[in-house]
Amino acid sequence: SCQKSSGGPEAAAFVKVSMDGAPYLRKIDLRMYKSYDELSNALSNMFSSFTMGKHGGEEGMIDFMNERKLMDLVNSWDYVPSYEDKDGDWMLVGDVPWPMFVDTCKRLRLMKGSDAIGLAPRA
Amino acid sequence: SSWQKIATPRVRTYTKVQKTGSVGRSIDVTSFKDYEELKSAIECMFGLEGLLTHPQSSGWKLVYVDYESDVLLVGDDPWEEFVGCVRCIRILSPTEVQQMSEEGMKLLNSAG
Repeated sequence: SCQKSSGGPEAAAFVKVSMDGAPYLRKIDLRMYKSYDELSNALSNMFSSFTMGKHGGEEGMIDFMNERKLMDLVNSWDYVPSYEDKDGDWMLVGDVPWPMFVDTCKRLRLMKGSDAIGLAPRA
Repeated sequence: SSWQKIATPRVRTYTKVQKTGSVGRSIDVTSFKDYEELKSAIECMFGLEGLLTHPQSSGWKLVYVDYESDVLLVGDDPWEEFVGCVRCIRILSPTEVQQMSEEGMKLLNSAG
């Protein structure tokens, strides 16, 4: 009963999305999506023209939920989705519940896999 | 009153629009009501009719630099937001987009 009820629909949450190596950034409204899966699909489509072509037709994005794949990123063309949170820290996308992510994400970066290899989970 | 004039921050009125190989143009983005109008006007200025309003088929891209010096695709933000943060606009030909992508990938490769 102490909780504030928000009036009307929530405001849009536009954030910049950069992809390492891409010539320009995009902007998306995070509130357009209901889950990490939806976001992943949207980003794959948005940047497909840069990830495909010369480097094979495979999607460059990694599966947010597939941690094992993080171990295998060196020399691959995979991209790791990371985000800058309100503290200014760059974090791996997918660890916190979706609503919390939408509230704390200030900016998205699809990081070249080899740059993010330090993120690989310990055995 | 003259002191007050100096103290008020200058409001940007004109935004440069540039294209490789062409003379740049200056436009007042606040005079347009939406992206469609803006793109049509820029098409007319540079003789690119239909190429910017149908980017998926033409391969031409309209990008802008914002006040954080990021290069972004024109059209993702709500219009009012865009008007508030655009610093300059650039027209990219399909060849330029391709070259920039390849250079970006090469940089990543050499870094890796």
